[in-house]
Amino acid sequence: MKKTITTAAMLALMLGAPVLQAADAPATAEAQAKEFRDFTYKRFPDIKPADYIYGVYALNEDYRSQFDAMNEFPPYDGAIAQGKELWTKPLANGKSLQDCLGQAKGLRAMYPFFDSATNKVRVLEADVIQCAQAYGDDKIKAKSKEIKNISAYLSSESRGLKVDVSVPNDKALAAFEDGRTRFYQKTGQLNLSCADCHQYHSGQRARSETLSPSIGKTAHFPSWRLKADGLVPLHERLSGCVKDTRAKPYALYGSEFSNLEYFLAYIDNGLVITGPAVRK
Amino acid sequence: MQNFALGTPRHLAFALLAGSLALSGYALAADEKAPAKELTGKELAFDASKGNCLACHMIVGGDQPGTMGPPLIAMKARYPDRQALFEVVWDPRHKFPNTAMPPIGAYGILSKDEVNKVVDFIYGL
Ligand code: HEC
Ligand code: HEC
Repeated sequence: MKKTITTAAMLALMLGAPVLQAADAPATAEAQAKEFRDFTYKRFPDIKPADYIYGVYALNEDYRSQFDAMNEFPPYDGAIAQGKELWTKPLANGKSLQDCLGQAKGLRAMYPFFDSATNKVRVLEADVIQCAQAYGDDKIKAKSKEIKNISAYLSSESRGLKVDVSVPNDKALAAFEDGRTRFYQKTGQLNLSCADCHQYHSGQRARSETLSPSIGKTAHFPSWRLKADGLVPLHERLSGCVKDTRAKPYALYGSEFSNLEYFLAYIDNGLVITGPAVRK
Repeated sequence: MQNFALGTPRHLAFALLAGSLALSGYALAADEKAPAKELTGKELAFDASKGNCLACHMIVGGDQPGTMGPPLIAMKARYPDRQALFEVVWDPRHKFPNTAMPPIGAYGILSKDEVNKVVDFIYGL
C-alpha cells in the first residue's frame, strides 16, 4: 500500500502535478537552510544553536564576559521609549502608525514575510516608512533617528518570541533563493562575499575584527553600536558590510536587501528575538 | 564653485574628485611629508587604503594582523620562483579558485609597479 502511494507521488512529481508543487517550495527552502546551518554547526561544534543570537560573542567565554559587561547599563532604553511615543503619535493626517500597522506587541515576529499579493518580501522598517509617508509624515524615513527608535521599540515588543519565517510558494522561494545568491555573490573591488567573511572565514579576524558566524544575523536587530553610539537597523549594517568590499551598496529597504533579510531570517528560524542588542 | 564645476571638462572633474579622495585618505599621513611621496613595498602592504595585506595576513612588523589568510613568512622557500608569487598577488583566483583574497592587481587595487614592490617586500620575509 505504502509503496503504491510513493509510486503515485513520484509519478505526479514527474508530471509536475500542481498539487505537489505547493509542498515543494517549503521543503526546498528547508533543505537549503539545513545545509547552510550544518556548515556553521560543524565549524563551531561548541556553540549551542540557541546562542548564535550573540553573534561574535558566542565564540568564546572571553567575548561573552565582554558582552555581559557591555550590557550592564543598556544604552538603548531611551531610544525604545522614544520609539514607543512615535508609535501612537498622530501624524499629519491625524492617524498613527498603530492605526496603520496594528498593535506593536508581536509585530516584529511576523516579519519578514512574503506578500503573495505583491509577490514581494515585506520587511518591517519598510512598512513603517510606507505608512508614515502615506500619513503625510516627512521625518520617519530611511536612516532617520525616528525609524531607528521605532525599530528598537518594535523589537523590544517581540522579545522572547521566536523567528518564524515561511517560504509558502514558488515565488517566495525565488525571493529566498535571490537572497541566498546575494549571500554568496562577490561584490566590489575587494571581490568579497558575505560568505567569505561570515562563513568560510567566520571566527577568524579581519585586522582586529573577529568575524561572526552566519547564523543569528537578524534576531537581535537593530543593534546598538558602541562605536557609533547609536542604533543600526539591519539594512544599514548590511549596507556597511557591502561598502567594506568597496562596492556601492544596494538601496536600503529595496528588493535586494529585503530578499537577503528574508533568507537570513529564515536561517534564524527558532532563534529568540532579542533586539535591540549591544554590539561593539 | 558650482559654475566652476559645471564648466570643468569631465576628465578634469574626475581628476579633482580622485585628488580629493586621495587627500582625505592620507590627510594625516601627508602632514609632515611632501605630497606625492612614493610608498615603499612595506607601506603598500600595511596601508589600509592600499594593499591592506595586514587585514588578512600576519606580517612581521605589522600591528593587529588579521587571520583570514596564512602568515606571510618564508616566502622564498614556498615560492622559489618569484614570478609565481607575483601571479598569486596579482590574481590569486588562478591558484585558489573562489578565494577570499582580493585580485590585488587584476582589480586595480594596486598598480603593476606597486604589486612588484609588495612582492619584493614579502619575498624578503
Ligand atoms: C570584509 C568582510 C565582510 C564582508 C564581505 C561582510 N561582512 Fe558582515 N561583518 C564584518 C565584520 C568585521 C563585522 C563586525 C563583526 C561581526 O559581528 O561579525 C560584520 C558584522 C555583520 C553583521 C552584524 C552582526 C551582529 O552580530 O550584529 C551582520 C548582520 C553582517 N555582518 C552581515 C553581512 C552580510 C549579509 C554580508 C554580505 C552582504 C556581509 N556581512 C559581508 C565583515 C564583513
Ligand atoms: C581579504 C583577505 C585578504 C587580503 C586583503 C589579502 N589576502 Fe593574501 N590570502 C588570503 C587568503 C584567504 C589566502 C589563502 C588562499 C586560499 O586558500 O584561499 C591568501 C593567500 C596569499 C598568498 C599565498 C600564500 C600561500 O601559502 O601560498 C600570498 C603570497 C598572499 N596571500 C599575499 C597577499 C598580499 C601581498 C596581499 C596584499 C597586497 C594580500 N595577500 C591580501 C586573504 C587575503
